[in-house]
Amino acid sequence: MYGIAAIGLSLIFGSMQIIFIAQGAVMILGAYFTYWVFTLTSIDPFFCLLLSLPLFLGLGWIFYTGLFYKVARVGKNPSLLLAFGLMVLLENLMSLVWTPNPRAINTSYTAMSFSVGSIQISFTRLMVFIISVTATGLVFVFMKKTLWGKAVRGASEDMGAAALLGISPRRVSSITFSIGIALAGIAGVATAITYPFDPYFGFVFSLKALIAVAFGGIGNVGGALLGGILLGVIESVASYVIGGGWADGISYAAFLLLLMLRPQGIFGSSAAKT
Amino acid sequence: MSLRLTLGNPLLEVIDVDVFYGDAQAVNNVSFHVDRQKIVALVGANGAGKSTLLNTISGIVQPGRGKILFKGSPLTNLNPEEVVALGISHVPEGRRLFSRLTVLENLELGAFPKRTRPYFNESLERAMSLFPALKNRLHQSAGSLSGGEQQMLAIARGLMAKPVLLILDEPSLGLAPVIVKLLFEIIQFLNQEGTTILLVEQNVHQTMEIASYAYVLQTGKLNLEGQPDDLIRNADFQRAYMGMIG
Repeated sequence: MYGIAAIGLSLIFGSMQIIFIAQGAVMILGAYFTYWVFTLTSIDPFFCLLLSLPLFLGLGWIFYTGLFYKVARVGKNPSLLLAFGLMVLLENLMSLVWTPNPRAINTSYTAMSFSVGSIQISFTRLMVFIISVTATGLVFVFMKKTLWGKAVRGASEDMGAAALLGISPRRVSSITFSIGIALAGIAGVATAITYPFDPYFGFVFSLKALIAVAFGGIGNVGGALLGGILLGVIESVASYVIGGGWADGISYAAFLLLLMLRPQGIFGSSAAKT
Repeated sequence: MSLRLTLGNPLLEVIDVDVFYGDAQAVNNVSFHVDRQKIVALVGANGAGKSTLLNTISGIVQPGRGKILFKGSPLTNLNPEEVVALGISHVPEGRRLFSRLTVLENLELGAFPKRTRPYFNESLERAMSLFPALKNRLHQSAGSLSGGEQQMLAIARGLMAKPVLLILDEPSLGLAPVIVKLLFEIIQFLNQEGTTILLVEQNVHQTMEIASYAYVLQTGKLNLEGQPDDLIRNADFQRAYMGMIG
C-alpha cells in the first residue's frame, strides 16, 4: 500500500519538486469512494478500481491546473503549503461529510486466506500486492514506451530543455500530477479493502510514503515501490518481534538510519553530467 | 539599426529589442536580421547578452521593448512550444541533454512537435548519417557520452524538429579543437543543405570562417557588424578579440 502511494509521490516530487503531502488524504478519499460505492451499490471493490482510475486522473488534472500550476512557478515552499492546505481541507471535509468514525469494508472474501507451506497469506493482501505490482508495471510501461512518458522523464530532468523541444511544461506537469493522484486513488481502494479507516488516517500514510520514496531514492519510481514494500516488511517484522505499538517507531528509526547511512536511497544515484 | 542591406525578406528580424532581468538590462536596443540559408554569427564575450538574446527569440524570455519577426510574423508572446512549432530550433548553451534518457530517446523527444512526427524515421536516418558516432550509441544513456558526442547529439536532437532556422548557442564550448573543426564542418554542411543558421560563439576564429555575416555583442549592445573578412581587419574588432583570433 505504501508502495503505490509512494510511486505517486515520487513521480510528483521527481518531476516538479512538489512534496505532495496531501497524497495520504487523497488516498483516503479513494478509500471513502470505494466504501460508498460498495455500500450503496454492492459493486465489488476491485471493480471500483477501474471506476476510480478515470475519476482520479481527472481529479489530478483539476488539482494541478486549478491549483498547483500557478503556485509551482512561484517556488517550492508555496507548493508545500498548498499541498498541506489541501490535505487539511480534504481531511476536514471528509470528516464533516462522512463523520470521523472509522469505516471498514467487509466482503465475502475479507477474511479469506490460504496457506503456502507454513505461512498464512490473506487473500486481500495478496490482491493488494498484485494491484501494486500491476500499477507499477503500467506506470513503468507508460514512462518507458510512450512519447509522453519519455517527455515526462525528460522534463523532470530539465524542464527548460524540454520546452525548447516543443514540450509544454504545463501539459507534462498536469499529466504527471494526474498519474500521481490516480495512484493515490488506487492506494485508497486498496486501503479500503484491507483496513478500517477514518478521515485522518491519511497523514501517517503520507509520511510513510515519503519514507518509502526516500528508501527507494528520489526520482526513482520503481525504487519507490520497492521502498514501500521494504517499509511494509520492516513494520511487519518489527511488530511481530517487538510488539505492535512499536511498529511506527521502528519505521521512523529505519528512516533515520537510512538518512545517516545512505541518504540517496537504496537505488538512488547521483545525476550524470551533461 | 542594422547597416546591412536586406535583400528580399529576411527569415528572422530582431528590431530594437531590449531585454531586462528584473531591473538589470541584459540587451540594449539590438537590431539584426538573418537572411534565408545563410550562416549568421553573433559573437561576444561571456555576459555580453548573447544567450539572453537567443532565449528571447525562442520564447523563454519576453523582450521589454521591440519585436522579433520570423517569416514576417511577430514572435511576441509566443511560448517556446509555439516557437518550435513555427520552425525554430534552439540548441541551448551547455547542450542540456536529458542525461538519464538514451540517445534514441533524446532524439525521439526532438521530434516531439506533431508536425515532425510523421518524418521521424527520415529525420533519424539523416541524423545518423550526419553523426555516425551516435549510431552505435543509440541505447546508451546520453550522460555517458563524451563531450563531443553530446554536442553532436544536442544538434541532432535540434534537427529532429526539422527546423527552418537552427540556433546554436556556443556549440564549441568545452570541446577539443579537433572536434570543433568537425563540428563546424557539419554546421556548414547543414547550411549547404538548406538550413539557416544563427550561430552564437566565443570561438571567433572558426566562426568567422564559415559565417556570411557577423554581429558583435558587447554588454548588451551591438557595437560592430560586418562581413567576416572586413571585421577581422577592423581595429576595434581586433582589440576586442585579440585573444580569440588565430
